[in-house]
Amino acid sequence: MIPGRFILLGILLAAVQTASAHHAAGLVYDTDNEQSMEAIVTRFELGNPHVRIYFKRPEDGGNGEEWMAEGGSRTVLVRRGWTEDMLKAGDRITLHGHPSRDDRPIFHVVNMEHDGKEIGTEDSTSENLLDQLRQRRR
Amino acid sequence: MVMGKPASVTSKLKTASALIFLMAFVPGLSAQPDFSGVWSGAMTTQDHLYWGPEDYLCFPGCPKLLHDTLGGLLDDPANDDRPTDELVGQTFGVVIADRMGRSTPEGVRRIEESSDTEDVDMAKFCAPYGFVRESLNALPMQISREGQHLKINYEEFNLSRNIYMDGRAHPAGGELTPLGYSTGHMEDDVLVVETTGISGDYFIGLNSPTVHYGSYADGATVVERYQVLQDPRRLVVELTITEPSTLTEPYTWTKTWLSTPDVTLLVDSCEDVPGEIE
Repeated sequence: MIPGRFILLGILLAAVQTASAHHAAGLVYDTDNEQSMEAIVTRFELGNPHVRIYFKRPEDGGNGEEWMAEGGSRTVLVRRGWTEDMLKAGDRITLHGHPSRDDRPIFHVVNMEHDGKEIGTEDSTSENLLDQLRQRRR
Repeated sequence: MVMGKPASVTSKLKTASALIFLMAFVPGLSAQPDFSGVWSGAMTTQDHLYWGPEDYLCFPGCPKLLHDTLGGLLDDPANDDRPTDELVGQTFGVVIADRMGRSTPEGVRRIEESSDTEDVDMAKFCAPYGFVRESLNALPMQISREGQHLKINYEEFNLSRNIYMDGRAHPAGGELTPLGYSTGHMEDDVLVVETTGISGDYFIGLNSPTVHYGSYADGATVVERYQVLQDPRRLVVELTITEPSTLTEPYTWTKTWLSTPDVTLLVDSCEDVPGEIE
Protein backbone atom coordinates (compact mmCIF):
# COMPACT_ATOMS: atom_id res chain seq x y z
CA MET A 1 0.00 0.00 0.00
CA ILE A 2 1.44 3.32 -1.05
CA PRO A 3 0.73 6.17 1.37
CA GLY A 4 -1.28 8.94 -0.24
CA ARG A 5 1.26 11.57 0.71
CA PHE A 6 3.83 9.78 -1.45
CA ILE A 7 1.45 9.88 -4.40
CA LEU A 8 0.87 13.60 -3.91
CA LEU A 9 4.59 14.17 -3.49
CA GLY A 10 5.25 12.18 -6.62
CA ILE A 11 2.82 14.23 -8.66
CA LEU A 12 4.55 17.41 -7.51
CA LEU A 13 7.98 16.01 -8.16
CA ALA A 14 7.02 14.74 -11.59
CA ALA A 15 5.92 18.21 -12.50
CA VAL A 16 9.05 19.93 -11.31
CA GLN A 17 11.53 17.28 -12.40
CA THR A 18 10.72 17.74 -16.05
CA ALA A 19 11.56 21.39 -15.82
CA SER A 20 15.29 21.34 -15.52
CA ALA A 21 18.53 19.48 -15.76
CA HIS A 22 20.35 21.43 -13.10
CA HIS A 23 17.72 22.05 -10.51
CA ALA A 24 14.01 21.68 -10.25
CA ALA A 25 12.00 24.82 -10.86
CA GLY A 26 9.41 23.79 -8.29
CA LEU A 27 11.91 24.24 -5.49
CA VAL A 28 12.06 27.97 -5.99
CA TYR A 29 9.01 28.83 -8.07
CA ASP A 30 5.30 28.30 -7.56
CA THR A 31 4.78 26.10 -10.60
CA ASP A 32 1.02 25.87 -9.98
CA ASN A 33 0.71 29.63 -10.39
CA GLU A 34 0.89 30.69 -14.04
CA GLN A 35 1.50 34.38 -14.62
CA SER A 36 2.47 36.75 -17.40
CA MET A 37 4.72 39.74 -16.94
CA GLU A 38 5.77 42.65 -19.14
CA ALA A 39 9.49 43.31 -19.01
CA ILE A 40 12.11 45.77 -20.21
CA VAL A 41 15.37 43.86 -20.60
CA THR A 42 18.36 45.25 -18.71
CA ARG A 43 20.79 42.42 -19.53
CA PHE A 44 20.77 38.87 -20.79
CA GLU A 45 23.03 35.98 -19.77
CA LEU A 46 23.01 32.82 -21.87
CA GLY A 47 24.68 31.12 -18.95
CA ASN A 48 24.70 28.34 -16.41
CA PRO A 49 23.09 26.71 -14.65
CA HIS A 50 20.21 28.33 -16.55
CA VAL A 51 19.74 31.23 -18.92
CA ARG A 52 18.85 34.45 -17.12
CA ILE A 53 17.00 37.51 -18.36
CA TYR A 54 17.37 40.54 -16.09
CA PHE A 55 14.66 43.14 -16.45
CA LYS A 56 12.67 45.97 -14.98
CA ARG A 57 8.91 46.26 -15.06
CA PRO A 58 7.25 48.95 -17.22
CA GLU A 59 4.71 49.73 -14.49
CA ASP A 60 7.61 50.86 -12.33
CA GLY A 61 8.51 53.36 -15.03
CA GLY A 62 11.64 51.39 -15.75
CA ASN A 63 13.14 52.67 -12.50
CA GLY A 64 12.13 49.97 -10.07
CA GLU A 65 14.16 47.05 -8.79
CA GLU A 66 15.81 44.67 -11.20
CA TRP A 67 14.12 41.31 -11.66
CA MET A 68 15.60 38.07 -12.94
CA ALA A 69 13.78 35.55 -15.13
CA GLU A 70 15.31 32.08 -15.22
CA GLY A 71 14.81 29.72 -18.15
CA GLY A 72 16.25 26.40 -19.29
CA SER A 73 19.73 24.91 -19.62
CA ARG A 74 22.22 26.87 -21.69
CA THR A 75 23.40 24.19 -24.08
CA VAL A 76 19.86 22.89 -24.66
CA LEU A 77 18.73 26.34 -25.78
CA VAL A 78 21.93 26.98 -27.77
CA ARG A 79 21.09 23.85 -29.78
CA ARG A 80 17.71 25.42 -30.53
CA GLY A 81 19.42 28.46 -31.95
CA TRP A 82 19.68 30.80 -28.99
CA THR A 83 22.52 33.33 -29.21
CA GLU A 84 24.12 35.78 -26.81
CA ASP A 85 22.72 38.75 -28.72
CA MET A 86 19.15 37.61 -29.19
CA LEU A 87 18.08 39.94 -26.38
CA LYS A 88 19.58 43.33 -25.65
CA ALA A 89 19.05 46.04 -23.08
CA GLY A 90 15.88 47.99 -23.75
CA ASP A 91 14.03 45.18 -25.51
CA ARG A 92 10.41 44.91 -24.45
CA ILE A 93 9.25 41.33 -23.96
CA THR A 94 6.38 39.45 -22.35
CA LEU A 95 7.26 36.60 -20.02
CA HIS A 96 5.00 33.66 -19.26
CA GLY A 97 5.78 31.38 -16.34
CA HIS A 98 5.79 31.16 -12.59
CA PRO A 99 6.54 33.58 -9.72
CA SER A 100 8.84 32.76 -6.83
CA ARG A 101 7.49 30.97 -3.79
CA ASP A 102 8.75 33.68 -1.44
CA ASP A 103 8.03 36.97 -3.24
CA ARG A 104 11.58 37.47 -4.41
CA PRO A 105 11.94 39.48 -7.68
CA ILE A 106 12.62 36.35 -9.68
CA PHE A 107 10.49 34.54 -12.24
CA HIS A 108 10.57 31.11 -13.89
CA VAL A 109 10.04 31.81 -17.58
CA VAL A 110 8.53 28.97 -19.64
CA ASN A 111 8.07 30.97 -22.82
CA MET A 112 8.28 34.58 -23.92
CA GLU A 113 7.03 36.89 -26.65
CA HIS A 114 9.70 38.88 -28.42
CA ASP A 115 9.44 40.75 -31.71
CA GLY A 116 6.07 39.14 -32.36
CA LYS A 117 7.40 35.61 -31.87
CA GLU A 118 6.63 33.15 -29.11
CA ILE A 119 9.82 31.46 -27.94
CA GLY A 120 10.04 28.43 -25.66
CA THR A 121 12.50 29.14 -22.88
CA GLU A 122 12.62 25.84 -20.98
CA ASP A 123 14.28 22.46 -21.54
CA SER A 124 11.03 20.62 -22.15
CA THR A 125 9.34 21.39 -25.43
CA SER A 126 5.93 20.76 -23.92
CA GLU A 127 4.35 21.15 -20.51
CA ASN A 128 2.44 17.91 -21.20
CA LEU A 129 5.42 15.97 -22.44
CA LEU A 130 4.86 12.92 -20.24
CA ASP A 131 1.29 12.56 -21.49
CA GLN A 132 2.43 12.98 -25.07
CA LEU A 133 5.11 10.34 -24.65
CA ARG A 134 2.55 8.02 -23.07
CA GLN A 135 0.18 8.43 -26.00
CA ARG A 136 3.00 7.66 -28.40
CA ARG A 137 3.95 4.63 -26.34
CA ARG A 138 0.53 3.14 -27.04
CA MET B 1 56.47 -29.63 -56.02
CA VAL B 2 54.94 -27.62 -53.28
CA MET B 3 53.32 -24.47 -54.48
CA GLY B 4 53.74 -21.42 -52.26
CA LYS B 5 50.70 -19.33 -51.28
CA PRO B 6 50.19 -16.22 -53.36
CA ALA B 7 51.78 -13.21 -51.71
CA SER B 8 48.39 -11.51 -51.10
CA VAL B 9 47.02 -14.56 -49.27
CA THR B 10 50.16 -14.80 -47.18
CA SER B 11 49.86 -11.15 -46.28
CA LYS B 12 46.21 -11.52 -45.24
CA LEU B 13 47.05 -14.57 -43.11
CA LYS B 14 49.75 -12.62 -41.35
CA THR B 15 47.36 -9.75 -40.70
CA ALA B 16 44.70 -12.12 -39.36
CA SER B 17 47.23 -13.86 -37.14
CA ALA B 18 48.36 -10.54 -35.76
CA LEU B 19 44.78 -9.53 -35.01
CA ILE B 20 44.05 -12.84 -33.28
CA PHE B 21 47.20 -12.39 -31.21
CA LEU B 22 46.20 -8.88 -30.22
CA MET B 23 42.64 -9.90 -29.37
CA ALA B 24 43.87 -12.80 -27.25
CA PHE B 25 46.60 -11.05 -25.32
CA VAL B 26 45.76 -7.38 -25.13
CA PRO B 27 42.96 -6.73 -22.64
CA GLY B 28 40.18 -4.57 -24.01
CA LEU B 29 40.98 -5.17 -27.67
CA SER B 30 38.97 -8.36 -28.17
CA ALA B 31 36.01 -8.22 -30.53
CA GLN B 32 33.63 -5.98 -28.67
CA PRO B 33 30.83 -3.53 -29.29
CA ASP B 34 31.86 -0.07 -30.32
CA PHE B 35 31.15 2.27 -27.43
CA SER B 36 32.71 5.27 -29.13
CA GLY B 37 30.70 8.21 -30.34
CA VAL B 38 28.44 10.94 -29.00
CA TRP B 39 25.50 9.76 -26.91
CA SER B 40 22.51 11.91 -25.95
CA GLY B 41 19.87 11.37 -23.29
CA ALA B 42 16.13 11.98 -23.39
CA MET B 43 16.30 15.64 -22.40
CA THR B 44 18.16 16.76 -25.50
CA THR B 45 16.45 14.27 -27.83
CA GLN B 46 12.95 14.42 -26.36
CA ASP B 47 11.19 14.30 -29.73
CA HIS B 48 12.70 10.91 -30.58
CA LEU B 49 10.05 8.22 -30.94
CA TYR B 50 12.00 5.76 -28.79
CA TRP B 51 11.39 7.50 -25.49
CA GLY B 52 8.56 6.70 -23.12
CA PRO B 53 7.56 8.62 -19.97
CA GLU B 54 9.78 6.41 -17.81
CA ASP B 55 12.78 7.27 -19.99
CA TYR B 56 12.09 10.98 -19.95
CA LEU B 57 11.72 11.06 -16.16
CA CYS B 58 15.12 9.37 -16.04
CA PHE B 59 16.89 11.92 -18.24
CA PRO B 60 19.32 12.75 -15.40
CA GLY B 61 19.51 9.04 -14.51
CA CYS B 62 17.20 7.45 -11.99
CA PRO B 63 16.96 4.48 -9.67
CA LYS B 64 16.46 1.34 -11.75
CA LEU B 65 13.45 0.60 -9.55
CA LEU B 66 11.84 3.85 -10.71
CA HIS B 67 12.32 3.12 -14.41
CA ASP B 68 11.14 -0.48 -14.12
CA THR B 69 8.18 0.27 -11.84
CA LEU B 70 6.80 3.08 -13.98
CA GLY B 71 7.38 1.05 -17.14
CA GLY B 72 5.43 -1.82 -15.60
CA LEU B 73 2.53 0.41 -14.57
CA LEU B 74 2.37 1.95 -18.05
CA ASP B 75 2.40 -1.51 -19.65
CA ASP B 76 -0.52 -2.72 -17.52
CA PRO B 77 -3.82 -2.19 -19.41
CA ALA B 78 -5.57 -1.85 -16.05
CA ASN B 79 -3.88 1.55 -15.73
CA ASP B 80 -4.90 2.87 -19.13
CA ASP B 81 -7.46 5.26 -17.66
CA ARG B 82 -5.29 6.49 -14.80
CA PRO B 83 -3.57 9.88 -15.22
CA THR B 84 0.14 9.76 -15.96
CA ASP B 85 0.92 11.95 -12.95
CA GLU B 86 -0.85 9.47 -10.68
CA LEU B 87 1.24 6.58 -12.01
CA VAL B 88 4.38 8.67 -11.56
CA GLY B 89 3.31 9.49 -8.02
CA GLN B 90 2.70 5.83 -7.23
CA THR B 91 6.12 4.99 -8.65
CA PHE B 92 7.85 7.67 -6.61
CA GLY B 93 6.13 6.32 -3.51
CA VAL B 94 7.57 2.88 -4.21
CA VAL B 95 11.04 4.31 -4.82
CA ILE B 96 11.03 6.51 -1.74
CA ALA B 97 9.85 3.71 0.55
CA ASP B 98 12.42 1.34 -0.92
CA ARG B 99 15.26 3.83 -0.57
CA MET B 100 14.35 4.66 3.01
CA GLY B 101 14.39 0.94 3.78
CA ARG B 102 17.90 0.62 2.34
CA SER B 103 19.30 3.68 4.09
CA THR B 104 21.33 3.88 7.26
CA PRO B 105 20.30 6.50 9.86
CA GLU B 106 22.89 8.81 8.25
CA GLY B 107 21.37 8.16 4.84
CA VAL B 108 17.88 8.95 6.12
CA ARG B 109 19.20 12.13 7.73
CA ARG B 110 20.71 13.26 4.45
CA ILE B 111 17.53 12.58 2.50
CA GLU B 112 15.42 14.45 5.02
CA GLU B 113 17.86 17.35 5.10
CA SER B 114 17.93 17.54 1.32
CA SER B 115 14.15 17.86 1.38
CA ASP B 116 14.44 21.14 3.26
CA THR B 117 14.22 23.60 0.41
CA GLU B 118 13.97 26.82 2.38
CA ASP B 119 16.53 29.46 1.52
CA VAL B 120 17.59 27.68 -1.64
CA ASP B 121 20.51 29.55 -3.16
CA MET B 122 20.42 29.08 -6.91
CA ALA B 123 24.08 30.00 -7.27
CA LYS B 124 25.15 26.84 -5.45
CA PHE B 125 23.78 24.76 -8.31
CA CYS B 126 26.52 25.93 -10.60
CA ALA B 127 29.15 23.72 -9.03
CA PRO B 128 30.50 20.62 -10.80
CA TYR B 129 28.71 17.41 -9.97
CA GLY B 130 30.00 14.37 -8.14
CA PHE B 131 30.27 10.91 -9.66
CA VAL B 132 26.67 9.73 -9.85
CA ARG B 133 25.21 13.01 -11.04
CA GLU B 134 27.98 13.54 -13.60
CA SER B 135 27.97 9.98 -14.94
CA LEU B 136 24.21 10.11 -15.49
CA ASN B 137 23.86 13.81 -16.30
CA ALA B 138 21.27 15.15 -18.70
CA LEU B 139 23.58 16.53 -21.39
CA PRO B 140 25.39 14.61 -24.17
CA MET B 141 28.68 12.79 -23.66
CA GLN B 142 31.36 11.47 -25.98
CA ILE B 143 33.20 8.17 -25.57
CA SER B 144 36.47 7.77 -27.43
CA ARG B 145 39.23 5.19 -27.51
CA GLU B 146 42.69 6.35 -26.54
CA GLY B 147 45.05 3.49 -27.25
CA GLN B 148 43.89 0.60 -25.10
CA HIS B 149 41.85 2.86 -22.91
CA LEU B 150 38.52 4.68 -23.09
CA LYS B 151 37.83 8.32 -22.34
CA ILE B 152 34.45 9.85 -21.57
CA ASN B 153 33.99 13.57 -22.14
CA TYR B 154 30.85 14.96 -20.59
CA GLU B 155 29.27 18.14 -21.88
CA GLU B 156 27.96 18.79 -18.34
CA PHE B 157 30.61 21.02 -16.81
CA ASN B 158 32.99 19.71 -19.53
CA LEU B 159 34.38 17.08 -17.14
CA SER B 160 36.12 13.94 -18.38
CA ARG B 161 37.12 10.48 -17.13
CA ASN B 162 39.67 7.93 -18.24
CA ILE B 163 38.75 4.26 -18.09
CA TYR B 164 41.90 2.16 -18.00
CA MET B 165 41.43 -1.13 -19.85
CA ASP B 166 44.84 -2.74 -19.34
CA GLY B 167 44.06 -4.71 -16.22
CA ARG B 168 45.90 -2.41 -13.84
CA ALA B 169 45.09 -2.30 -10.15
CA HIS B 170 43.44 0.64 -8.48
CA PRO B 171 45.83 2.89 -6.55
CA ALA B 172 45.70 2.28 -2.82
CA GLY B 173 45.16 5.24 -0.54
CA GLY B 174 45.13 7.80 -3.31
CA GLU B 175 43.47 11.19 -3.21
CA LEU B 176 39.69 11.14 -3.39
CA THR B 177 38.28 13.03 -6.38
CA PRO B 178 34.72 13.66 -7.62
CA LEU B 179 35.09 11.21 -10.52
CA GLY B 180 37.51 8.78 -8.86
CA TYR B 181 39.76 6.27 -10.62
CA SER B 182 38.19 3.91 -13.17
CA THR B 183 39.28 0.63 -14.68
CA GLY B 184 37.26 -1.39 -17.16
CA HIS B 185 36.97 -4.82 -18.66
CA MET B 186 34.60 -6.66 -20.95
CA GLU B 187 32.20 -9.37 -19.82
CA ASP B 188 30.81 -10.70 -23.10
CA ASP B 189 29.37 -7.58 -24.73
CA VAL B 190 29.10 -5.58 -21.51
CA LEU B 191 31.67 -2.95 -20.56
CA VAL B 192 32.16 -3.21 -16.81
CA VAL B 193 33.76 -0.16 -15.18
CA GLU B 194 34.86 -0.18 -11.57
CA THR B 195 35.57 3.14 -9.88
CA THR B 196 37.16 3.83 -6.51
CA GLY B 197 38.62 6.91 -4.84
CA ILE B 198 35.37 8.85 -5.16
CA SER B 199 34.84 11.89 -2.96
CA GLY B 200 31.41 12.43 -1.44
CA ASP B 201 28.69 14.38 -3.18
CA TYR B 202 26.24 15.97 -0.82
CA PHE B 203 23.73 18.57 -1.80
CA ILE B 204 20.61 20.11 -0.39
CA GLY B 205 17.53 21.23 -2.17
CA LEU B 206 17.33 18.80 -5.07
CA ASN B 207 14.21 17.18 -3.78
CA SER B 208 13.62 14.37 -6.19
CA PRO B 209 14.16 10.60 -6.17
CA THR B 210 15.89 10.98 -9.52
CA VAL B 211 18.43 13.48 -8.28
CA HIS B 212 19.11 13.93 -4.59
CA TYR B 213 19.24 10.25 -3.80
CA GLY B 214 22.66 10.26 -5.41
CA SER B 215 24.02 11.86 -2.24
CA TYR B 216 26.82 9.83 -0.66
CA ALA B 217 29.89 10.15 1.55
CA ASP B 218 33.61 9.88 0.77
CA GLY B 219 34.93 6.50 -0.30
CA ALA B 220 31.99 5.17 -2.31
CA THR B 221 32.73 2.51 -4.91
CA VAL B 222 30.77 2.23 -8.14
CA VAL B 223 30.35 -0.47 -10.76
CA GLU B 224 28.92 0.64 -14.10
CA ARG B 225 27.73 -1.88 -16.70
CA TYR B 226 27.42 -0.35 -20.18
CA GLN B 227 25.78 -2.14 -23.09
CA VAL B 228 25.16 -1.02 -26.67
CA LEU B 229 21.77 -2.05 -28.02
CA GLN B 230 20.26 -1.54 -31.47
CA ASP B 231 17.07 -0.26 -33.13
CA PRO B 232 17.68 2.45 -32.29
CA ARG B 233 21.38 2.32 -31.51
CA ARG B 234 21.61 3.22 -27.86
CA LEU B 235 23.77 2.93 -24.77
CA VAL B 236 22.29 1.63 -21.53
CA VAL B 237 24.01 1.74 -18.18
CA GLU B 238 23.28 0.21 -14.83
CA LEU B 239 25.28 2.01 -12.16
CA THR B 240 25.54 0.39 -8.75
CA ILE B 241 26.94 2.36 -5.85
CA THR B 242 28.19 0.88 -2.58
CA GLU B 243 28.61 3.32 0.28
CA PRO B 244 28.14 1.85 3.77
CA SER B 245 27.66 5.08 5.69
CA THR B 246 24.42 5.96 3.86
CA LEU B 247 23.32 2.65 2.30
CA THR B 248 22.77 -0.72 3.93
CA GLU B 249 23.21 -2.42 0.56
CA PRO B 250 24.25 -1.46 -2.97
CA TYR B 251 21.87 0.77 -4.90
CA THR B 252 21.38 0.66 -8.68
CA TRP B 253 20.66 3.50 -11.08
CA THR B 254 20.00 3.40 -14.80
CA LYS B 255 20.04 5.64 -17.82
CA THR B 256 19.79 5.30 -21.61
CA TRP B 257 21.43 7.46 -24.29
CA LEU B 258 20.76 7.42 -28.02
CA SER B 259 23.59 7.44 -30.53
CA THR B 260 23.75 10.98 -31.92
CA PRO B 261 26.70 11.16 -34.31
CA ASP B 262 25.66 14.61 -35.55
CA VAL B 263 25.86 16.19 -32.08
CA THR B 264 28.94 18.17 -31.05
CA LEU B 265 29.63 18.77 -27.36
CA LEU B 266 29.29 22.41 -26.34
CA VAL B 267 31.13 24.43 -23.74
CA ASP B 268 29.25 24.15 -20.46
CA SER B 269 30.85 25.76 -17.48
CA CYS B 270 30.06 28.27 -14.81
CA GLU B 271 32.25 30.73 -16.70
CA ASP B 272 29.63 30.64 -19.46
CA VAL B 273 32.05 30.60 -22.35
CA PRO B 274 30.03 30.09 -25.53
CA GLY B 275 31.13 27.86 -28.38
CA GLU B 276 32.04 24.29 -29.21
CA ILE B 277 34.68 22.20 -27.49
CA GLU B 278 37.85 22.10 -29.56
